[in-house]
Amino acid sequence: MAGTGVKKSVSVSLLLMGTAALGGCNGEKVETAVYQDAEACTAAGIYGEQKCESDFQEADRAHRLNAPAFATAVDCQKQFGKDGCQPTDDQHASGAGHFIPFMTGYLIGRFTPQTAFGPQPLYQFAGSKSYRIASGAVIADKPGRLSLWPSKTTTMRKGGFGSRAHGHGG
Amino acid sequence: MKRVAMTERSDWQIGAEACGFSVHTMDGRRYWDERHAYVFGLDEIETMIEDPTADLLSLCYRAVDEISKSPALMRRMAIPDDFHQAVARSWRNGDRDLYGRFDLAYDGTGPAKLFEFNADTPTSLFEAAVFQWYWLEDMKARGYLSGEADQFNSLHERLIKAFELLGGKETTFHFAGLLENAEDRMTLEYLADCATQAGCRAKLIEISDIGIDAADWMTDADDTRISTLFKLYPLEDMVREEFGTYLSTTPTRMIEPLWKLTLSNKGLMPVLWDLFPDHPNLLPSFFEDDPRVAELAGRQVVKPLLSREGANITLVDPATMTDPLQVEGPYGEEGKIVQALNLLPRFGDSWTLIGSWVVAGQPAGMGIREDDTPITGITARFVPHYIDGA
Repeated sequence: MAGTGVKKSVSVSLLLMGTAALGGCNGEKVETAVYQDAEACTAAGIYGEQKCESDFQEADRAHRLNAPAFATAVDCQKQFGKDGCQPTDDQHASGAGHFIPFMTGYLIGRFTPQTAFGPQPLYQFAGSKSYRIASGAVIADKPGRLSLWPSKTTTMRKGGFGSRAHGHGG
Repeated sequence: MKRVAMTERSDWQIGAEACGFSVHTMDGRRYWDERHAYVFGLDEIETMIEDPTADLLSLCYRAVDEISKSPALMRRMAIPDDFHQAVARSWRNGDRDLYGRFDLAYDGTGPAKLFEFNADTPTSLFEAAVFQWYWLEDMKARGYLSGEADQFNSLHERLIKAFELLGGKETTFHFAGLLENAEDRMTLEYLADCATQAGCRAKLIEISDIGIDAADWMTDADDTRISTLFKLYPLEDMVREEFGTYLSTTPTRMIEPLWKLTLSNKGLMPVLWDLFPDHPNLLPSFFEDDPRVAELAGRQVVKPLLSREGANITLVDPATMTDPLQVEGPYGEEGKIVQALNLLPRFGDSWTLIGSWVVAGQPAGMGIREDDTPITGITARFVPHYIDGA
């Protein structure tokens, strides 16, 4: 804005250009946490209320769209218990009329050098307190803080950008 | 605004190469040209360049509001139908953008006139932010310029601050583009440097190495998910490519975000003119099929909706020119706009264009390019500027 006095940067230094090349990234554990719901998250005081709530909403959305689905209530209950399942509606990727477990917790989303994972819905098998992601893998034994070694992802397809010859800056 | 002859430093090429300014000379022609400089007064910079830049940006935001709500306008701007919802969503969500460059015609007297807004993949950034700054400091140190001389240039500081806002220490930014293009590579290296100084991690990748995983995340050649992608590759090309469809579903954050499709498009100019007719910093502009084109009486510039570096622009002035001035190029099939002719000012033998930068929504500095023709193109030279401290 006008009237600020000096119009130029006070100092301009370069870290990497000219003398050093860009490196890749190094592995590092990622701090995150598991909570039953947004209230429990806020009460724990590690993440702010806003992050707790918006991550919960996002996990819940992922749950409604992509929770593990079973063809029958019985199949679902075998895994998640007699009171552990609900029918899907047509939002779900499998369509209406399937059965999915209740979301009993969620993982706080993080963006890290290795991996970027959004907030995830978590589930508990009948007779076990462990929290599992949708694939069934155990991620935590109880709510609270958690350190993860994020795994790399698997690229399914490649090379879908960059085909337009004049596609550069100007 | 004056253009003054300056002493060329005998060793400037060495300095340029030492700091990574790889394209200071291109195809044997000078790109960096410090044999002259442009001088401004502080008040002039603030009232004629900086304030109008802030004003133009707010007009642009109003235009995004209009365009992103209107499938008809988006169609007119050749934004493919499949992306209309995603564009509107990215604007509604307030997806953050990084930077842009307004190209202005300003001759030192009347109001600066906006030619276009390079809102998606602007280059000439490094020379404006860094080498121009070094030039000023060096010229002061060598006694050629007063110690009071200043420059409209807080680009470097603002870029670092912008990366702090965009990510901070947890974020890895992937910087993608056509790395064999020296100018694009330099711009990417510079932005990666700024991101690193902001505490972020930076990784430079080839745009064609981007992959997609099962959850629609973009991935790099090491199978690492891309949390934030800065791409120096036009959005309007990406949406038309094989992976374009993933742009509306991917959780990968894009910089620039999809709503920039509504600004990095010459169709912005007629939209602005309709919203803010007779604004002092705007030129009358119309889509090519608009009957109001007749009001221009043939004194006009025809520009493709999508083009870079002056390509496919046709300039006509029936009063003084027997043949239109035309620049060849690969663009134009998506449609065109017609803008009232407003020739660039001439300083000596040069036609001079002001690039006024915005970073994270704020005016951030200026870079000036000269060319030997009225259409600034790939033969342009970058000429430094300073603010007279007296």
